[in-house]
Amino acid sequence: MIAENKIEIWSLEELCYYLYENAYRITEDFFSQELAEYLREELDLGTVADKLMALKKNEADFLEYILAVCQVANYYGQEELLRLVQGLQAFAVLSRPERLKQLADSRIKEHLYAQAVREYEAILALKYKEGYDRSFEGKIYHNMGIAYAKMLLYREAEECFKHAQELLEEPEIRKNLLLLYYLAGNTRQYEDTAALFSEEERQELLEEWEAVRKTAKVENGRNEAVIEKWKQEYRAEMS
Amino acid sequence: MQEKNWSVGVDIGVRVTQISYMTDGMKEPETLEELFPTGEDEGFLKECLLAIPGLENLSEIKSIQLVLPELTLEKAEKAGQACLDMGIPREAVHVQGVAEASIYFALSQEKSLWNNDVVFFDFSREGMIYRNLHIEKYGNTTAVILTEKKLSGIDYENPSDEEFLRLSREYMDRRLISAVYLIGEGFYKEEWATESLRFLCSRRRVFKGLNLYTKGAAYAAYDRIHMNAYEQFLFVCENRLWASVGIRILYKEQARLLYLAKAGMNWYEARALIEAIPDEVTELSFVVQTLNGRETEEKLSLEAFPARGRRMTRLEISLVFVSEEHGIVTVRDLGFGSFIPAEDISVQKDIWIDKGQ
Repeated sequence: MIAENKIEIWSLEELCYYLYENAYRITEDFFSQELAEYLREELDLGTVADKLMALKKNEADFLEYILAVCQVANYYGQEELLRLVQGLQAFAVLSRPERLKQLADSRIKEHLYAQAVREYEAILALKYKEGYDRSFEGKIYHNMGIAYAKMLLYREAEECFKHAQELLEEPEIRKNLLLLYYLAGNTRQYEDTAALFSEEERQELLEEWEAVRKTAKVENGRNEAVIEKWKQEYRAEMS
Repeated sequence: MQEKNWSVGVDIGVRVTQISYMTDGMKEPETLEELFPTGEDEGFLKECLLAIPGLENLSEIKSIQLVLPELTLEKAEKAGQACLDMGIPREAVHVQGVAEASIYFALSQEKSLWNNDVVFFDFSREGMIYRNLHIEKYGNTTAVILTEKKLSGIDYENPSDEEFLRLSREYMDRRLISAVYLIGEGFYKEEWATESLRFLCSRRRVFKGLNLYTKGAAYAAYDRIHMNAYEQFLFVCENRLWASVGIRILYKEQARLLYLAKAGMNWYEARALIEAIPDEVTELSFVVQTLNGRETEEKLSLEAFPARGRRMTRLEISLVFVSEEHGIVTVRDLGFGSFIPAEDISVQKDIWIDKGQ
């Protein structure tokens, strides 16, 4: 058993899964002597342990470590591993802010919205040090708005979307603002924003949101409980 | 003093139990002269085993083969538990029936005694049983086929030499037989089988004995921890599986059949336990392949298991047999480590082996 980010890993398949899902975050430091000993003693994978140590000695790229484990585990198919390799290779040539943005975006997919917000804020703090354009900044604000909206923090989400709108000419941002006002029940703002869309566009959006609303199962009387639950989780994340 | 490795064969008869044993340096098993009354509970076994000269501690028994007159799940588990209670390690304990003991004995003799068919006549108060051992090669496989038949017409109290001669001719005339074994107390009562013996001994070697099964079991026990010479043979007889059971899997993206039990294995000992991760499948496929080439497929639905992310479920799949014809597959949810906790869900499927197929 190895503990990493409070996750216990008990088998080669779980290790493989963890590496694949977190490939963009881990570094060569993860592949330590302790990991090699665990593979050797607990999983009876002496050959894999030896291979990892040989890679370490040769200061190999961390991608090689991941493949060394995944190819033995037989958990992912060749196509999936190829996609991973291609993804990581593309990731490696990105600028630091772009890489950080991709990592933050993945937090949203993992439903770690508060963490995503923290990471977007960190990217914004790098603006003068790393330097990026208005378009990129706009995308950061937009995605941060998404994260806030997922936490039902509509006011914060609205601020982010408005920032994004100033920096980035994207129709998607206006749609998200409209949805935000719809969810928040802010009728006046909704109507003002809706006026910017054609009748046909408004109808299409309403149908789309209705389908999403049904699957989200937000019912009358539960909204308050849901909101309170998410706020508590947010506060716990921030503390 | 260096610990010895003991191999023991125990023939638990209906009335009496016999012990044979082998240890380091011995080429053949020795049989204890004493016959032990077969007890109601397995405590009597301890007394039998402690009678082995030189055996100081039952934990020195590295391999023990118990021959049961009728191999049932209940009897096998009782006998096995008795051995465990005596301190004999679980991996050292094996059970078998009389048919298997006969085969082990026959194959342990010099090859000239089983070049052709081998015949056994077992004559006891329960009657006379005829067994025939026939060896057949199929490619790389050597099948050892033992058939048996209960013979009527031979009365234990008043056996008829004439009738026995008639039966012997019926089963053995114009056949190549390497050896004949006459087993059981029925052949030790006054010399009644004069003409039939004369016939049997004509161009065949005939042996009479009371300890064939216990010796056969001792040979088997010894072989398990030494040469594993018997593994090359496919046993086709009572208590041995008539079919192999496998599960269809993907290994390195290639479809394979993973065998959980192989034909020729002792049914009680043919158990398997594996873990597998289903990859976008809704059912498991089990394949039953009989020795005469028939193949059937049994499906086990996974609908009882919760829907999770792809490859985020580990299943424990076990196969045990409760008889020669009836196996039970059990599939249990193991979750996926600390990513997904296991839920208390399991499903079962009966696997039937029809010897008539």
